[in-house]
Amino acid sequence: MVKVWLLSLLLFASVSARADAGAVEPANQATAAAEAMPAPGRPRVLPTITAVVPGLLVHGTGHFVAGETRTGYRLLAAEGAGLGLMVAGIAGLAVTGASPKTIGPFIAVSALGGGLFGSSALADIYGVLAPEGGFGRPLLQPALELEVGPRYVRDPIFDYDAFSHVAATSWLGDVRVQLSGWLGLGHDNQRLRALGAYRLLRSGQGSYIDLELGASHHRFAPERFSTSFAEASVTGRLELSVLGRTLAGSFFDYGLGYALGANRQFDTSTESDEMMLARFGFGFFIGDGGDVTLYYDHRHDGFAAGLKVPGLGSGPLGHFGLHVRHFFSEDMGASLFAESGSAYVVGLSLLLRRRTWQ
Amino acid sequence: MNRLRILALAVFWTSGCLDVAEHRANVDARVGQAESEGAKISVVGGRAAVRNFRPGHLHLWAGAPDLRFTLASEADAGADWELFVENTMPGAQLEVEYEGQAVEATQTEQAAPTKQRWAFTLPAAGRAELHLGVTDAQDETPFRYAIFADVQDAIDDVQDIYGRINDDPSIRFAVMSGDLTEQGESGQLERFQRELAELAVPCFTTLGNHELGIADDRYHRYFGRGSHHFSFHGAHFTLLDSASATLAPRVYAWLDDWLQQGNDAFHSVYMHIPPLDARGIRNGAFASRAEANMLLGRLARAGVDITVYGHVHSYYAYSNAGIPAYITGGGGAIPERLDNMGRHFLTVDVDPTTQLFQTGIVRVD
Repeated sequence: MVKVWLLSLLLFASVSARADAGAVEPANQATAAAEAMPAPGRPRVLPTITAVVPGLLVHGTGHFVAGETRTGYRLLAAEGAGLGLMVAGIAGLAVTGASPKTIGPFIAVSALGGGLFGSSALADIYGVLAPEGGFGRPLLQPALELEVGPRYVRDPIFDYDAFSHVAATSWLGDVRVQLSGWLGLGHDNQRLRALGAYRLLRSGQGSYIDLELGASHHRFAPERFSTSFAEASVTGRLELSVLGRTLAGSFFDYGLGYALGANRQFDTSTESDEMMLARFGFGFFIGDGGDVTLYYDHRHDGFAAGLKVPGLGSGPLGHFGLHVRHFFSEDMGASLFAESGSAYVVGLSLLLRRRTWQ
Repeated sequence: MNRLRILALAVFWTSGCLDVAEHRANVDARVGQAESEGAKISVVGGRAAVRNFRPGHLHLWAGAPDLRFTLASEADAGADWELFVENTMPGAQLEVEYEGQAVEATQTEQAAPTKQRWAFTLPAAGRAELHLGVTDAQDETPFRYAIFADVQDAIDDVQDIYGRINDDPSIRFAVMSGDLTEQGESGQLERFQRELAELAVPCFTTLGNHELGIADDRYHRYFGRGSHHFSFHGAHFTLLDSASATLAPRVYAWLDDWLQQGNDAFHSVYMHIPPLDARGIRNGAFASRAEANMLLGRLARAGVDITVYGHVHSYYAYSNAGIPAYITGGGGAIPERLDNMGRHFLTVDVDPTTQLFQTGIVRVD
């Protein structure tokens, strides 16, 4: 995951350099992001440095130094809220002894707090680095997106490593349908997932709330077991421009849900299982419909699964990830994917899209 | 400096570490081996921690009811030996064999039911085989043992549990499935051993995540292996180090051998962190559902009869991969609320010939 963070910093730097050179394509639809141009002469170095040190501890420092006091206070408030939620969630877990009768809300509150805390720090860095309007603009509800590419998994427990990944996402009005699959190469392992979503609310260019219903099946043939889950989640995205103009083009992703399923040992047993679903991330748009997202995902199934760490904290946490999507042209792009949990997972994909069905 | 430490921790927490348990497995492989001034001790299966070793003196902490070990000496010096064993079975007898000849051993002290001191003299430099165990260790007759876990910061009250175990003379030994201490500090580990002196039977342990608070391998100096295997009355016991919510790849290789040994017998498996939580939403369990299912499938196909875990501070009886599973984390650490349970331990009655067993809960509060 150190590599993930380095990659993200490199990406920040390279995209920033492109933006400074005015390399962001002008938008062909009226959006605030597209209208924005880099602000020449705006001081960047000191705000950026202070957004890291001491900004990673006192979120908003970069904005204070840059003179964006109101946004700085809002980021500081978001940090405080995040810390408060984390403390409240962890305190709740301690007081109840992690009772399963009450644990759901406490995990949700803790994860939300962690998401706010991490996002406010990243948003501070983004806000002082990004040009006005951001690095790109969203493309909401494209008719069709196809993704295909290799995946590499390094897991010391399992023999598999290489997979091919295919995914298709389609919007029909406010309904989204997504199918994806991981197919083992030289190894009998497949993970299939189907998702249906309905857009409940939409605000501005990039804020929305979705209801997602999904199902996944993961088959480990050599190990002679499979896992299957049905899941329901409320997910969404909040444009961070609501906190300040410097944050235009960045967003906070969130999702909470529940999965119920079964673990099947071939020829032996089938037993029920359940999972809490929570996902929070910070991201920003790049180019025309691309984005960069750093996220935490509480899922413990799949390839990355939960985090293993030195010391006494392994087990309860999910994994961290980075997803970068960039479109080189109207209908073609590439994506980079990296996750760190019980395994390191990396992948590259070719992206194909169609904007509308017309 | 503190900021650097926080930053380093943050990097660790976001980057993870895939081989987080491998170092402890490597330490496991060295448990029971020591050399000093031309003398060498090797405990079969690493079933005892060598607490102190020098020519003429050997101090062990037993990790199994039956110990076999080899003493080898290059020099002729130090022929008079003192053996001090803690956590041994009450009434255990020492047999010493030197170059095929029996050597007389004398018990010089029994400070507690589980502490024995022996003296013997080896004729010359060479190799001696020693066996410390109870005479009925190989009898395939029914017996009872106790299981508990998660004492942590409740060490001040742990004698309540030991007292209840001592009240039942049919209990032959206890198995402790981790979280002996709050942080795994040396003082806390020593305190746990001191408190065990009041327990009338030995306590065979594996470590929990709370033993990893200070260092990865301090537990091993005091208690020996985290992953190990022994048999008693024909029943097999496998304790696995799952303190990092995973097993080290090296442990899986050992496990295959232990599963084969216990294939046609009663076989029980103990870990601190369960592969799967009784309530999946909480995930007081392995970091990876995939690894959990892979491990449980192996146990099930090898005919494991019962799995027992700690980590969750309550009591649960459920099934994992068709194997009866129990969580018995009632050693006193912050209790789970709303469960009406409190401190407790589990008893298991085993009939090794039929492989039938029966569990019971003993409430301490």
